[in-house]
Amino acid sequence: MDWKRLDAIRRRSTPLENDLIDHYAVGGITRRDFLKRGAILGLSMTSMAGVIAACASETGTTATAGPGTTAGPGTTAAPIAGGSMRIGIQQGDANSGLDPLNMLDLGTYAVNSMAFEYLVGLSPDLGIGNSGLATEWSSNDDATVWTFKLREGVKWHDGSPFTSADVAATFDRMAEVGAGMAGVWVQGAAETPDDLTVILNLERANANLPVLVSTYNPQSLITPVNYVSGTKLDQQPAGTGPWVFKSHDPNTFITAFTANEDYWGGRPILDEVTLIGFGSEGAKVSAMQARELDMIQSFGVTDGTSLLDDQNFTLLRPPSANHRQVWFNTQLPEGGPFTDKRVRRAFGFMLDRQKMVDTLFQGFGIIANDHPIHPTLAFFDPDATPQRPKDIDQAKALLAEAGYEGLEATLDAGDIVYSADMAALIEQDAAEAGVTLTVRVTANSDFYGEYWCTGASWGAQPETGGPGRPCGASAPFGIVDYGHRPTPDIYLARALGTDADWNSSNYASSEFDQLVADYQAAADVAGQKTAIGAIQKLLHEDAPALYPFFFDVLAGHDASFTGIQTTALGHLLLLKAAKTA
Amino acid sequence: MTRFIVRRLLLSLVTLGIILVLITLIPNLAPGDPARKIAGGTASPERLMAVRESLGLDKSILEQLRDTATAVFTFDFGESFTRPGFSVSELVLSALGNSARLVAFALVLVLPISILGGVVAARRRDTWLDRTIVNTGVALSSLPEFVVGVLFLALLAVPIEFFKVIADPPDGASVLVQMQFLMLPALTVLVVYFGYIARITRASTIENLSADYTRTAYMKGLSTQQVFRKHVLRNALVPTVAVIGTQLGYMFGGMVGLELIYNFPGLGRLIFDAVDAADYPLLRGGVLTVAIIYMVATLAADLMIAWMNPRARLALSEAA
Amino acid sequence: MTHIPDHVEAGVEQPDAGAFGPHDAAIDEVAAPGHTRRQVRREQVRLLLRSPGFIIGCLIGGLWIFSSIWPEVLTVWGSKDTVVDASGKTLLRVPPNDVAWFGTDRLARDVYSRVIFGARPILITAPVATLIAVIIGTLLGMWTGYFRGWVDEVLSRILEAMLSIPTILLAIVIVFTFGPTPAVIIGTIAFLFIAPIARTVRAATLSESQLDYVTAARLRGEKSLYIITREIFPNIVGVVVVEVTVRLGYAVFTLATLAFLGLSGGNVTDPNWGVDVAQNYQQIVAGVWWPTIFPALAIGSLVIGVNLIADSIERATKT
Repeated sequence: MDWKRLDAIRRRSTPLENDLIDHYAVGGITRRDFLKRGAILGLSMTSMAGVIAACASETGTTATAGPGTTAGPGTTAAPIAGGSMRIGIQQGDANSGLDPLNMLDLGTYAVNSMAFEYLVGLSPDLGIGNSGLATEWSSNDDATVWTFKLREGVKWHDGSPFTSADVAATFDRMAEVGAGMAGVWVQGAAETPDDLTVILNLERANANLPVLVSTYNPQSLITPVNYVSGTKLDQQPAGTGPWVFKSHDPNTFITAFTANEDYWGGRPILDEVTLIGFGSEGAKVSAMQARELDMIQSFGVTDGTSLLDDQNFTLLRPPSANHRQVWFNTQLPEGGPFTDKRVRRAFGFMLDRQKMVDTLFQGFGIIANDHPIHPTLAFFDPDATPQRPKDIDQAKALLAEAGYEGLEATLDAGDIVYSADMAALIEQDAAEAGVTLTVRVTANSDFYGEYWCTGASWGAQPETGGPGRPCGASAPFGIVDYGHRPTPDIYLARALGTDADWNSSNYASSEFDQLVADYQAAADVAGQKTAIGAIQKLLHEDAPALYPFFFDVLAGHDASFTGIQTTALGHLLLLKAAKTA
Repeated sequence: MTRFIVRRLLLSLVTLGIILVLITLIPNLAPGDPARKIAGGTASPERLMAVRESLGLDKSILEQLRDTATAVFTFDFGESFTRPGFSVSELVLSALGNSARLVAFALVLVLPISILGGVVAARRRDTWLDRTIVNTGVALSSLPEFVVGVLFLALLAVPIEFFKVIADPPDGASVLVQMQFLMLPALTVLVVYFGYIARITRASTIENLSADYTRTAYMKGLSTQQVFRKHVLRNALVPTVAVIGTQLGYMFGGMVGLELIYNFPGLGRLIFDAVDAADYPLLRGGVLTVAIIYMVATLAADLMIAWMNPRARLALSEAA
Repeated sequence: MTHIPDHVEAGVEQPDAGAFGPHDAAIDEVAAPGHTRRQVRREQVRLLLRSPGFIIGCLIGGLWIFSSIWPEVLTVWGSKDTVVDASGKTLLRVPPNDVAWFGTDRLARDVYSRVIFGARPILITAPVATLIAVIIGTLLGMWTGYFRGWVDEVLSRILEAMLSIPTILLAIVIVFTFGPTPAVIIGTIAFLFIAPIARTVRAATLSESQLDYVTAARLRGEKSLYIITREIFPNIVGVVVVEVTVRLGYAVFTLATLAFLGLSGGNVTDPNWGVDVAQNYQQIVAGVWWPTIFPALAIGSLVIGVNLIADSIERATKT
């Protein structure tokens, strides 16, 4: 152990960062987790490389410095300059339109993130990194104040300079509408001492804040000062990103972009990119199969078997904690079956999770244990909650105890890939326990508004059921999709926190809220693990929702292209994309 | 003749009026709050009010009827709800253009083949050829177009490169390329209509072949070919023209299943999507367009019949 | 058969594809002297029972009727069961084989079972809707055909308006507005079919009304109701029967299309041919054709069967 080198690094790091470094130095966390966590905290690449090198000399491994670089797929052929690309994406939600603040679906995420950028970006292996508008960031000792240094020389597409005012305005807007920021900061919490610095004062400690303003919180795109909640990209084209908005046809959800000649990261190689929306999964896959598209944003395993067998198709599997949440409305209708936690737990014992993974994903997924903590996360506690098995007898016993034998209910699902089929499988499983389910599938663009969080809104809450019941008219039993997040903050705070705007379960547990706050404030992995372990147990006990699996997002492109990356949330990273000879 | 046309136009206006009432009433009849459905569950009260206003739901039924009537005559239904920034007229015209192309191409296929089939069946009446044509046609015509569509997908589109799975030619493509992309839907239309049209043509050809004037023409010394071309065909095709006229509305707006399967952005699809999303302005514009197409097509068919067949012309004038 | 297209007079000719051409009033001509109506009928029925179209149609219809009543007898697996082979391995998306004769779908369900069980929904809703439409349509048609007057005019205008928009579009609009429950769907189809039935019956009644025997009855002082039910109706029964069968074909067609478009009553996971086609057709491109094609062929066979019966009855009544 090269203590001298380590010491030098420690001296210039914040207490939070040092806790992490110490943990790593004593072997408390793996190198991978150190890198992930360090990036979130704002440790620079050089520091992290130095720490790793310093620690490696003891174990004798010659560690390569820094996080690995990704070899682009098939980089043997020479890239051609210019050219265009057509990409098939999910058809955007009709009601939100190209609204970067209020968007909900992968298609719109992709479109808006072509023109706009995030404050905190990505690393080459798609963890948190500095490919965004902030070059570095750090917090104070207790993670209540975060300082971001902005990139110099960035311009909006209309030529005006990008400044801290834009970031502050974005933060204000996010606080105004919620966007998962409820309680994290309030309007006016951002200070701009100069054009290239933004200081954010949080309401309470949050060591994961950078994730909340990164690519992995899609609604946190940095928009100019003159945007308000509800402004859409096609109404007021703007952006700092590598692609300039050219046209959008809402009829067919086709959006065209041209290369930004003055992009701060260098001009993209391609000249033009067109994103084409598809209402049907199968049509999208067919188009890709027929090479009417060059790339497909994401596709389901069922419809996409032809692509998986295609030799000239490069499969992309971005890291993914995607899942489907099976929620129960724990409070409404009052006296309803799902207000009884025994009934909810009973359903947990009915599910044949492995069968779901095998049938729906054919191996491109893993079973989960009724909480949204992905098992590869450093703070996941494998001992806190043993895997819930399929146990029909126990399910029946719980139902009988609650007085709901032979229960009949409706299961609502949106018409998005996997959800309807998942509902069919749940129906089969439930039948074994004597429960009769009717599956009701609604067009996905209507589903969120009609059955999911119908109390959730951006500002006003017309259908709130009162305090503690933000989603007043959510269906009693339904399935909703959650895209990838590298940390479970959104899955916990926004989906299950009291009065949170995605809380279709109307879960109102102060114990849960406190535990989440503890997790967010925890300085080190041990602290996080304690809080998370308790959360896992609580979720098993209360069962506001079930989480049967996590699954991989599949995307891909024709093998003649290189330099393409995508995230599990549908972002298309095409700066280095090029066609090869 | 003019009396006939005038009377038909008046009748069409009445029909139009009834349709107008229908499309005005729909959002009022819907249970629940259509404004909420449109604006989405995430809408603020102000947005809900705005939607309700633009739907006209805050006005009385009479006022709504008057508004719809104005909209109909200026053909301005405002903006679509699901695609704001785009007027209903724009969207309808765009879809109409697509459907028109498909219908034109389909007719180019359907008419010659079906008429030929019907005529051949008539001339070889009661032979095996006749029975085959009729029975095959009848069987195929009964199939819903989406059934034919998926069969074609499986049998033609997948194995044969030439047939495109998605009937959406790239912008600015040449006519031939467009035809290639539209080939499968057009073939589906052919299958669906062949039996129907062939049978009608056959029936009326048979009748005309044994009519008095035909015999007179033969006795005058005209050859079979001449008789056929100059006299029989013109009269025999009368019901065929009538049928095409009445079916045109269906071809433009009724083949939703077909348009879904081939991902074709036609008028039927547009209306279906509008209904699905409770986009009432778009729905109204679309339905009205289909009704107008139908009325124009039937009127045109009648005029064409009158031109083709002097006796019909006479009867029509008398009927007026 | 008259040649001036009907629509000049009363409105529209069959606006929907899928059946057999314009129905000029297929009137039972008064039989040649010496034959009673009953003898004519018997002869027609005998002809009918010997026509190949009728026989095939009945076989097909019979098969599906049996499937809708006793599906368990014909199937090994339930319609929502997971198919496993002898060793217990789940058979997911496998082509037709010994265990699953029509293969399995993407949720490892037996396609053959889903086809057999899927007969019931359509074989219940189609006849019910048709029956309602025929009863109301016939009453309406006879009334307007006999009495005429302003009621006739108004009704004809309304009917024409309804017929100027493709049935399927109207059905979509109505079902969406009131919600896709089985009652609404049956009611919508019934409602939309009243118009064409009424028109045909009206034309038939109209022609009959001008015949001598009706005038004679009126002169005798018979009441209108008597004339309509006892004199006219028996003579147009042939027309009505043809309409029943033709409309049944249309009903199957329309219901299947509505199901395909996602508008089927009840549980979306229940076996239903149209729904199964809609849920599975996108996999055809991937080479998985069986979960789509078999239900599609089922729809096709039922419609063809019904239309064969309709066609042969129509031909029989014309002799």
